[in-house]
Amino acid sequence: MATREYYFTSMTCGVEYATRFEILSKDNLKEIMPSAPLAGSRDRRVDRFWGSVLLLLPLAAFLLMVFVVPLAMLLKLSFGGAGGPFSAYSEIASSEVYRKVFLNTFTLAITVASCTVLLSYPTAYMLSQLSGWKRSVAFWCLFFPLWISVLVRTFSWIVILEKSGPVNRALLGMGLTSSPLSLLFNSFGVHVGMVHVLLPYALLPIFTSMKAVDRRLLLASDSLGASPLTTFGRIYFPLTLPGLSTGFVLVFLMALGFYITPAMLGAAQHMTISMLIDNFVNERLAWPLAAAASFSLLFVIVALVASANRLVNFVSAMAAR
Amino acid sequence: MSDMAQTVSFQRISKAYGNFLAVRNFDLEIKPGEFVAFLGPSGSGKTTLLNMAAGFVRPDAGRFLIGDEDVTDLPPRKRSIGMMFQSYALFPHLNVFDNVAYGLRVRKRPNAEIAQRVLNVLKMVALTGYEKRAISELSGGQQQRVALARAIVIEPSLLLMDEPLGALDRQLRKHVQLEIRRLHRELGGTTIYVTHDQEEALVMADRIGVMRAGKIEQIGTPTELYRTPANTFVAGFLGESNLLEGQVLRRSSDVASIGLPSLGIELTGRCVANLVVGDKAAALIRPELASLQQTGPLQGLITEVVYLGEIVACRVKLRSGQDFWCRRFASQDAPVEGAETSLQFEARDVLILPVDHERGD
Ligand SMILES: Nc1ncnc2c1ncn2[C@@H]1O[C@H](COP(=O)(O)OP(=O)(O)OP(=O)(O)O)[C@@H](O)[C@H]1O
Ligand SMILES: [Mg+2]
Repeated sequence: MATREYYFTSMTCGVEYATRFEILSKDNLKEIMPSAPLAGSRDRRVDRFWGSVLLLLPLAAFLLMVFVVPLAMLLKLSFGGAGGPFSAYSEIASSEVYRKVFLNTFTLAITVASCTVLLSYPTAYMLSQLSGWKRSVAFWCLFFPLWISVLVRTFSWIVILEKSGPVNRALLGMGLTSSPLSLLFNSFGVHVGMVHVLLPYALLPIFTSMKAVDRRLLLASDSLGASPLTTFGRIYFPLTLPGLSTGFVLVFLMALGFYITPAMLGAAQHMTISMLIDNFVNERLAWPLAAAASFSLLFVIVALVASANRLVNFVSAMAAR
Repeated sequence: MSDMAQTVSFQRISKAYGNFLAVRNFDLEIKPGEFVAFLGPSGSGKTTLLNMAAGFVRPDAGRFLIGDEDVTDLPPRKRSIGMMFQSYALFPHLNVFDNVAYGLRVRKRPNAEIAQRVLNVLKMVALTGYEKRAISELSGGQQQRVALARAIVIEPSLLLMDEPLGALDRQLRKHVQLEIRRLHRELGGTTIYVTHDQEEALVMADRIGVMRAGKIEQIGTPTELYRTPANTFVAGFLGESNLLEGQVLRRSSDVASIGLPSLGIELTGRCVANLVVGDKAAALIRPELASLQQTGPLQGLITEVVYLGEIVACRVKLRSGQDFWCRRFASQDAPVEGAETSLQFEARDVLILPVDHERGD
C-alpha cells in the first residue's frame, strides 16, 4: 500500500511539475527570466534545453532518491529467495492460494472502478451543468470528505453499516427487511468504503472532459437530425470517454493497492495483494516473497496501462460507427 | 435541394433576455430558394434570430414557418435545417467522411446511398480524396468546406449560416464567398446568412436585411440598399459614404434641398424618405460619384492620397473641417496631396436622407 500510494504522489507531482514547466518554457520565458540570453535563435534553443534540464533536475534527483533507488533495491530483494533467484516468483506463481489472492484483488479493483465510474459519470454531468456558487457548493460537498483521513472515514462506515447502525435501523423501520442485513465484512462493505474514498479521482477527469465538450457540437448534432440519445451515444460519450477511462484506470490502479479499507470492511477470506504483502512482511518476515509479489503486481499494472490506451481508441472508433 | 426549397417566414417574432429585447417584433418572408443575408453590428440580434430559426432558442412571441408548417415548437432535429456555425463545430473524433455522413446515418439511410451522397457533396466542395482525413489535419478553409458539406448533404429545406467565414483570412474568405454563392445557385435552397461584413453580404445575397437593435432597419437587394439607403445608418453600414448634415429647406415629390450651415451652401438631391421642411437631414454622396475638378460646390484641401490597387482614394478636408472621401481610377491623373481642389457631382447622385445618429461601422 505504502509503495503504491507513494508511486502516485510522485507521479502526480511529476505531472504538475511538467505542466508548470511547459508554461514556463513557452513564450513567456523572456518575461520571467529577463536576464536569460535569448539573442540568437540557435543559442536560445540550446539555452532552453539546458534550462529544461536545470528545471527538471530537482525532481529527477528526488525521484531517483526516493523512487528509483528503493525500487531497484526491492527488485534485487525479490531475486534473493533462499531457493535461487526465481524461487520467490515461482512460489507465488505456483501457489493456488496466491493466485486466488491476485485474482481476487483484480476483480475487486475492476468492480470498484466500475461502480465508481458509473456513479461519477452522472454526477460529473450534473456538476458540469452547474455554474457559479451552486457549483462551488457542490464541489465543496464532494471534496470535503477528502480532508478526513481514510482511517476515520472507514471507521465511520463501520458505525453506519453495522447491524444496529442507522442504515439497518432505517430499513427495519420502513419494513423493507425483517432482520438486519449484514452490510459489513463482506464485499458490499468493501465496495461502499472504497467507492467513497476513490470517487473524487474518477469524478475530476470525467468532469474535466465534460467541460471540454463544445456545446455547439451537440447543437450541430441536433440540427442534423439526431435524437438526444443518439447525440449522447455518438458525440457526447465518445468525447468524454478519455476522461472516463482516465478515471477508471486511476481508480483501478489505486484500488489494486488499497489496504486499509478492504482490511477493515472486508471479509477475512477475501484477501487482497496488499494484505498478502503485509502478511509476508509482518507475520512471516519473508521479504523476497513480499518483493516478488510487489513486482508481479507492478508488471501486470504496467501491461494493463499500456493496453488501456489502445482499448480506449478502439472503443471510440466503435462508437463512431 | 431545389425541389425542397421552401418559403420561410418569421411572423412577429420577439425574444428577450431578462428585460433586454434582443429581437423585437420581427417580420419577414423569404421566398423559396432565396439567399437572404442579415447584416448588422455586433449585438443587433442576428445570431439570436438565426438560433430561433434553427430551433436552438425559443421565441417569446410570434411564429416561425417553414413552408406551410409552423415549426415554432419543434426541436431542431425535426426541422429539416442545415446549420453552419462560425466555429464549424465539426465532430473532432470523426473523420471527414463520417462528419458529412452523420446526418444521413442518424436518418438511417442505406449505406450505399450514404456513400454515394457523401462522395457527391465532397466533390461539390472540392474535397474529393479527403474522406479519411481527421478534422485536425485540415486547414481552416477545408474545415469550413466540410461543415458546408455536412449541412447540405441532408438536403435541408432551409440552410442557416452564422458568420461561417469569420475565422478565415481575407483572401480565402473571398474565394469561399464565391464558392458558396455558386453552390447556392446550383442547389437552389432557401438560405439565411448572418454576417457583419458588408462586402460578404453584397457578394452573396439576393436580399440583405440591415439589422439594428433586434429590428430590420431596411431590407432590399444589394443595389437598392446601396443606391437608396433608408437612412444614414444603412448608408453608413453599406459601402463608403460621405454624409453632410443640415436641415431640409425645400421639399417636392422626389427632390429635396438641404442647407448646410457649416459650409454655407445648399445641396439638392433625390429624396424618397418621409422628410418635411425643417427636419434634420443629411446629403449622401458616394465617394465614386464625386470627382475632383477646378470648380464645384464644395472646396477643400487634399490631405491624403491612398492607393488601393486599381483605385485611388483621396481625403479632402472641407472648409467645415469635415473629411470627404472621393475615389478615382489609379490610371487617371494622380491627385497631389496639399493641393486645393473642388468636388463636383450631379444632383441625381446626391441622396437626401433622414439623420440617424447611431451610425454603423
Ligand atoms: N443567452 C443570452 N443571455 C443574455 N443575453 C443574450 C444571450 N444571447 C444574446 N444575448 C444578447 O442579445 C443581444 C443580441 O445578441 P446576438 O448574439 O443575437 O447578436 P449578434 O447580432 O449575433 O452579434 P455578433 O455580431 O456579435 O455575433 C446581445 O446584446 C446579447 O448580449
Ligand atoms: Mg452572432
